[in-house]
Amino acid sequence: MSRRVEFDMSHEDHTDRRRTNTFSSEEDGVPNEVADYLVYFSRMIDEQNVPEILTLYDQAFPDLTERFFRDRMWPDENVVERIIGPGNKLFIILYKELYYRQLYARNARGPLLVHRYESFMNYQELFSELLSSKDPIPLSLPNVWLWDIIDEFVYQFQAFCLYKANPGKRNADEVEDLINIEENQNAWNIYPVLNILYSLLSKSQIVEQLKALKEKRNPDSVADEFGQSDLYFKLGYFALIGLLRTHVLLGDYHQALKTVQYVDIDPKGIYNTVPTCLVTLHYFVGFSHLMMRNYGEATKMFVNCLLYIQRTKTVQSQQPSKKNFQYDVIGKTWDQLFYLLAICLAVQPQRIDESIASQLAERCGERMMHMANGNVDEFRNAFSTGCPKFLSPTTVVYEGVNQSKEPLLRQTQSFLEGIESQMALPVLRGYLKLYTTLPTKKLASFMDVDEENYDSFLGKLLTYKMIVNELGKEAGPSTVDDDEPQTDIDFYVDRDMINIADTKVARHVGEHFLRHIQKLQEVQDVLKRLDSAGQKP
Amino acid sequence: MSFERLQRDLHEAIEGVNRYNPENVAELAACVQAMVAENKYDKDIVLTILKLYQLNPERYDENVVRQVLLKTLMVLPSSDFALAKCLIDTNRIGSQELRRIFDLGAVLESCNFAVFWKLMKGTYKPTTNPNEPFKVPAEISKMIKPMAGFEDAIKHYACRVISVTFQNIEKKLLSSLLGGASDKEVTALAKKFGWETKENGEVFFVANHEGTIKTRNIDEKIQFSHVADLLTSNVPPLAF
Repeated sequence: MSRRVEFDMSHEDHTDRRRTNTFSSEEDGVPNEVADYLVYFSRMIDEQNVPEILTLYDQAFPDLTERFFRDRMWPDENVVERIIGPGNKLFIILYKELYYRQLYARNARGPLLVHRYESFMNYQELFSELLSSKDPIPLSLPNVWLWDIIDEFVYQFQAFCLYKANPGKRNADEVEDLINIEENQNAWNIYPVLNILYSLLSKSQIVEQLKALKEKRNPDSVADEFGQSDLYFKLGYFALIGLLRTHVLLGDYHQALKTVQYVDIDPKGIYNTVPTCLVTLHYFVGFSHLMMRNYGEATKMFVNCLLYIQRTKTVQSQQPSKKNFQYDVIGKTWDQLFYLLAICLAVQPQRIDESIASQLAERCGERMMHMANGNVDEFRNAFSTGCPKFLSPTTVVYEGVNQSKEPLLRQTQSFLEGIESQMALPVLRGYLKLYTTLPTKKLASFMDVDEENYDSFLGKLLTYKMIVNELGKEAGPSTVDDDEPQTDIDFYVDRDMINIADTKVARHVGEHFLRHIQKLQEVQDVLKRLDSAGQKP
Repeated sequence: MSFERLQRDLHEAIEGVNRYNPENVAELAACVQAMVAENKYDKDIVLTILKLYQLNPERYDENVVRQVLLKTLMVLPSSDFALAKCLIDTNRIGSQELRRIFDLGAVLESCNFAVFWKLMKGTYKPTTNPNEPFKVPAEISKMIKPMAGFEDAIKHYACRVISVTFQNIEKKLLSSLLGGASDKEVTALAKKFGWETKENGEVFFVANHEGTIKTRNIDEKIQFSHVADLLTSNVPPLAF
C-alpha cells in the first residue's frame, strides 16, 4: 500500500505560469500529476519551506517513482526546465542530483560511464554554487537531504574507483572515454573529491565551531556569515562524516578518527536526526578503532549502533519511502556489525547488552567459538563480510583481470597479521579460566612450551595484558567509571605465579520474568474474551 | 636542517587539504631522515608521507617507507605500526625488505622480546621450516643499526607491558626481557618507572595489582521503578 501525498494545488501563480508556458506535459509523456509536483517542488525550494520540502523529498518522490517511473526514468533536465520555466538553475541541479541517484540505484551493474561523468559534473556545479558564492546562498534543505547529498557523493566516488579497477564492467566505447577521463583527471579523481569535502569544512569553519561548542564557547565567535548559516554549518558537519568514511575506505584510520574528533557522540549531535548518518558514523568510527586494535572502544560503538537500529527497526520498516530502489544501508550494516562485533569479542571478551549478546550468539555463536580456538580463516571470513568496500584511488585497469578487490585483500591481510600475534590469547584464556592461581611454568607446560622457548611464552602473557589494558590507545587507558569490570577474566603475575580474577555475572532474570508476566496477562485477556463469547448459545 | 625546524614548517604545510599536496614529499622525506638520525618522532608526518605515496605512486620511495615502518615500531605499544601497514598498497608488499620489517613487527607486537634480543645479538638460530621468517638473522640487526635509539625504545616498550602485567618481578627475568641489561641499566629503568627494589635488589616491586584485579560476583539489581508499571496494572488471575 502506498501512501499518497497531497500537495496544495490551489495557488494561483503556478497555474498562471503553466498557462503562459505553451508546454503540454502529456506530450512529453509526463503525467500532469508529476508536472504539478515539479512546479510545486521548485516553488517550495524557492520559498525555503523546509517541512514541505521534506515531504516532497522523502515521501512524494518515492511515491511518484513507484506509480509512474517503475519501468522508465524520470524526465530529463530539459523537460523539467520546460515544465517549471527558466531561471531555476539551483532547482535543476538538485533535481539532477536525485535523477542520477536513481540511475545509480536502478542499475545492478552500475550506471554507464557517461552518466557517472555527468553526475560528477553536476556535483561539481552544485558545490561550486555553494562554495564560490560571495554570500551564503538562500537555500534551506532538510537534514536528511543534505546528508544524502554528501553520502551519495562519497558513494559515487567509491563506485567509480571500483569501476575503473574492473575492466569487466565496461564496453569498448567506454574504454576510450575512460582513458580520456583519467588523462585529464577531470571526474571522480581523489584530489577534486578531497578538495570538495575539505572546502566544505573550511567554508563552514565547522571544525573550529565544534571545537568551540565542546569547550562551551559561543560557536558564532569563530564563524563568519557562512559558518553561521544553517545550510553551511550542516553541510560542513555532514562533510566531516563523509570524510571519515572516505579516509576509512582508503585505509587511513588515524586521519579518519582525527576528522571527527570534535563530533560529540551524544544525543544532541545533528547526526541523530538522520538514521543513516548515525549508523555511518558509528560503523566507521568503530571500524577505525578495530583496525587500531582498540577492541573495547570498537565494541562500544558497534553495540550502541546495534541497539539504535534495534530500537528504531519497527519505525524504519513502516516507512514506505524506503522501499523502492533505495539501497537498504541500515539493514546491510546491521548484518555487518554483528560480524565485526564477533571479532572484537573473540579477541577481547567483554560484557555487552544482553539482547545484543543473545542475537550475536544466535548468529555468530559457532563462528566465535572457532575464532576463540584460533581459527584464522574464521577471522578472515568475519572480517571480509563485515568490512567496508575498500578502494584504491589510483588503480585503473584497461584490460586484464579485475583488481577492485585488491585493497580489500590488503586490509584483510594487515588485519590478520595483527590477529596472528594475538592468536594465543583465546587459548590462554581457556586455561586461565580454570584456575585462581597458576605457576607460569605449569601453564607453559600445558601449552607445550619447552624450557628454551619459555621467555617467548612469557610474551603471550604480556600481549594479553597489553591488549586488555589498551596500551595502544593514545590517551592511555580509559578510566572505567562503573565499578563493574568489563572483562570477565583478568590476571597479574607475581614473580612466577599467575593470580587470576574472574568476574561472574549472575544471569539477569528480571527481564525474562517481566516479559512472561506480560505474556501471561495477554493470554488471560484472550481467554476471558473467549470465555464470555463461548457462554452465548 | 634539524628535525624541530622541519617539523614546525611541515605542520603548517600539511594543514587541512594541503596534507595531500604532493609537493611536500621531498621535505617530508627529509624530516623522516632527521627523525631517524636524531631519534625523534612525529606521527602525523610519517602517516602523511605514506598517504602521499599511496595517492602519487610515481613518487614512491621504498627507503623512506622502510624507515617510517621502523620508526613506528619504536613507539610500540601505540598502534602506529598497524596504521602504517594499512597505508601500503598490495603491489608494494612483495618486496623482501618490507617483508622483513613486517616479520620483525610481528615478533615485537606479540611481545616476543626473547626472539628480538636474539636477533639483535646474533644468537638467533633459524629453523629449517620453509616459513622461517629470519633465514638470514644478521639482516635484521644490520637494518636496525642506523636507527638511533631503537633498542632503548624497545626496552621502554617492554617496561610498559611489564608494568601492567607484574606485581613483583625477579631481577633475573627483568634483565633477560630487557636483552640482558646490566644491573646498572636495570636499576635506572626501574627507577624511571617507579619500581621499588626489595630483597637486596633481587626483586622489583612493580605495582599493586592485587588491589584492582579481584574476583567478583555481580548480582542483578532490579530497580523498583522498572517494575512499578507491571505491579500496578492489577490484572486479577483468571478464576476457573
